[in-house]
Amino acid sequence: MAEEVSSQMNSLSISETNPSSSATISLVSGDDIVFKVEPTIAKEMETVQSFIDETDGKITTIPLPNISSHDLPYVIEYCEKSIAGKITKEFEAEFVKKLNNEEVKELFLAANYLNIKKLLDFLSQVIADRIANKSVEYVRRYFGIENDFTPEEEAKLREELAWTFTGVDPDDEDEN
Amino acid sequence: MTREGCQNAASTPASQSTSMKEPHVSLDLLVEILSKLRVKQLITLRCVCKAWNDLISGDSNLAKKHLLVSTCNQDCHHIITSSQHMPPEFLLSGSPFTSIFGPTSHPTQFRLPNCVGILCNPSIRKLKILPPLNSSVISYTLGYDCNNYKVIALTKGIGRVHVHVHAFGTDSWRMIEDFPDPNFISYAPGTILNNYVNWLASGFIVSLDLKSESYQKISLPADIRIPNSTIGTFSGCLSLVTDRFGLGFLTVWIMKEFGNGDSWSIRVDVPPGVIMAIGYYVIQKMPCCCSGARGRNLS
Repeated sequence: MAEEVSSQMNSLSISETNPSSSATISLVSGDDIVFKVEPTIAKEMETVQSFIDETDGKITTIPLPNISSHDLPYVIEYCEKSIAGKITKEFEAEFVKKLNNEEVKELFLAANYLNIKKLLDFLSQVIADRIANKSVEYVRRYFGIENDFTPEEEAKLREELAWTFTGVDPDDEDEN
Repeated sequence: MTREGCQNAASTPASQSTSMKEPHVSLDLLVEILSKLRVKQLITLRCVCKAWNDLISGDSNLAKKHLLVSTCNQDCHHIITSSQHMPPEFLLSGSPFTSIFGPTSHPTQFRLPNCVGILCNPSIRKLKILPPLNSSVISYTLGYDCNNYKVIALTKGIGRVHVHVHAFGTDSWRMIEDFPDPNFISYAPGTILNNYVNWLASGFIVSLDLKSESYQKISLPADIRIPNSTIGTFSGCLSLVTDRFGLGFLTVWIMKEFGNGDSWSIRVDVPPGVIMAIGYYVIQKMPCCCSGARGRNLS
């Protein structure tokens, strides 16, 4: 696990070295891996920044119990690109290509938790695209939702909404 | 972030328990996602579970957000066309046209004989009968003023044209100031641009601000023959399609700065025969289909 994280981080590391490394912010993932980031990155994460502001910048180690060390590098990568003004359609396409459905959902929740509006908006569009034209059953599985209608209730609702059930893609099993 | 930055911090029991939880998207957050889906699928998804059914059929936050997202996306709208059958049926199909409420050549088909207006939301297949108006209706236009939909009805008075506003959620019409052109008679609905409804009157454009419900007159480019002109929208600007010489040679003008009659400029000239065969209605809307992301670019 540690090896995997290191290799991921290698590809994400900022090339230039920062002389005033004392100013870096340490983000601690839910599984206790520390990620050191520039303060500008922290600024992109409203939740982190408000934490720093509240303590007048004295505290620079921020625990993020809801975010795993698997997801955090992606979030940081996105924030870095955002600061550099390099969020392009191509970058976004590449960014999500390597993410499976669970990962997209986790990152979406992480973006919400960290209050990164751009990332949240982007990932909500990604999820919307992934469930577009999919069946009710597919969407239930996607979100892990249990059907709480009785068979009669569901049949009645489906009959009422029958006209909307055309043009739905057949379910495929590439959910993860 | 540096590689050296990666190190294990002191482990706490609380952080261990949260790491492998199944990601759960709350209903609040779901609104972010659902607002980006097409209406038809959204309605289908009422069948997912009871909470989704309530959210999709009754949550005003979702409805507002969805409207915001869908009005920003000009890529695909619906078009209503009438069939040749009697009584007329209205067919619904996806198209890159801007929202269309009835072919301009047959506006009366959208009214019952006693002047009752019917509003149709094709996306959810619901109809609403508008409150009756006592005088003869010239045209209905559906617009949006940032907060609410409004229907604008023009009716014939003696030597004047009355203007009535129906706001969604109410059950009545409210009369506002008379139409600035007392002889105005065009059965086509007004052209919507942002919060303004625009009509081509005799010699000028009448623009109604849906928020303040006040009018402004906008001048036309010089030497425009009104009978051979129609207005529409093009790339987010008000446009004017005109047969300048009466010879079927069409010119598309756009008003670069809305409300400024000096900002008209010619966008494109269309040779005779290219458009005329399709008919008046398409001529009016032609600029819209050219301005979409997937459409041909005439610039």
